[in-house]
Amino acid sequence: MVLLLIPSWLYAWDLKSVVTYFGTSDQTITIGWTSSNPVPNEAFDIELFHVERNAVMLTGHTSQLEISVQLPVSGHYIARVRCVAPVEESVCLGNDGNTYDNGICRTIWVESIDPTYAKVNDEPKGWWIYGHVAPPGPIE
Amino acid sequence: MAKLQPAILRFPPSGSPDVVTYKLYMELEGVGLTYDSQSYDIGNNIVDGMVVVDLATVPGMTSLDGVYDIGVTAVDDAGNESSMSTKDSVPLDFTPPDPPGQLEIGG
Repeated sequence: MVLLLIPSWLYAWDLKSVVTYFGTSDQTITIGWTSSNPVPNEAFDIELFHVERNAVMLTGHTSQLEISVQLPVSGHYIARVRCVAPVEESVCLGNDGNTYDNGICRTIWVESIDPTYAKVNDEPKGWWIYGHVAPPGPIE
Repeated sequence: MAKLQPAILRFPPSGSPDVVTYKLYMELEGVGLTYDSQSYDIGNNIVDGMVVVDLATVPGMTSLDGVYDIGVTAVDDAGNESSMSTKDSVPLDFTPPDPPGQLEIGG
């Protein structure tokens, strides 16, 4: 299982149960997570799902517990992360939702809007990101 | 036909990768610039790393004459606009002087 953490550089607006973090699409953001049950050689797949376009706009893969990305377009984004690790099939399939293929175990995707997995200020809470269009520079 | 001097507006482009054009907002000085102010699509002409537009070539612009507060926004392919970069008290004069009188050629 992975646990998504807030991108702390962004500024937040708490709307009901989901916190919106605002930034601009020229900024590099860092999204982090924890590994609740680390295993050797584990890695993570990450996706940024664009809500308005109903499409995955960015994918990544890392063995680190964070990834830095630039938002490709403006709009709302939900972060998704899953763990990928070479473990025994019996161990892998012992957890609900895991899939096993060619010696590789993959967990379910966890989403940043799901308070089961997401945290804000160390409290279970969903979050997403809104990337504004970056303004032009000063007029001459 | 009168000849108008160029009125060059320059600004650094937005850093967002999906910007397709820029909008210019204008309001008479002191009125207060908003997204409801008169606006013009000024394109995305980048020269030497700056967005450059000659206001004298923007359709409708040459009917303006006076001192204006102006703002520019970046617009992405979905039509979303950025916040405004503004500049106050910009004098615009697209009114040419009266032409000289009738030419006379004397012998």
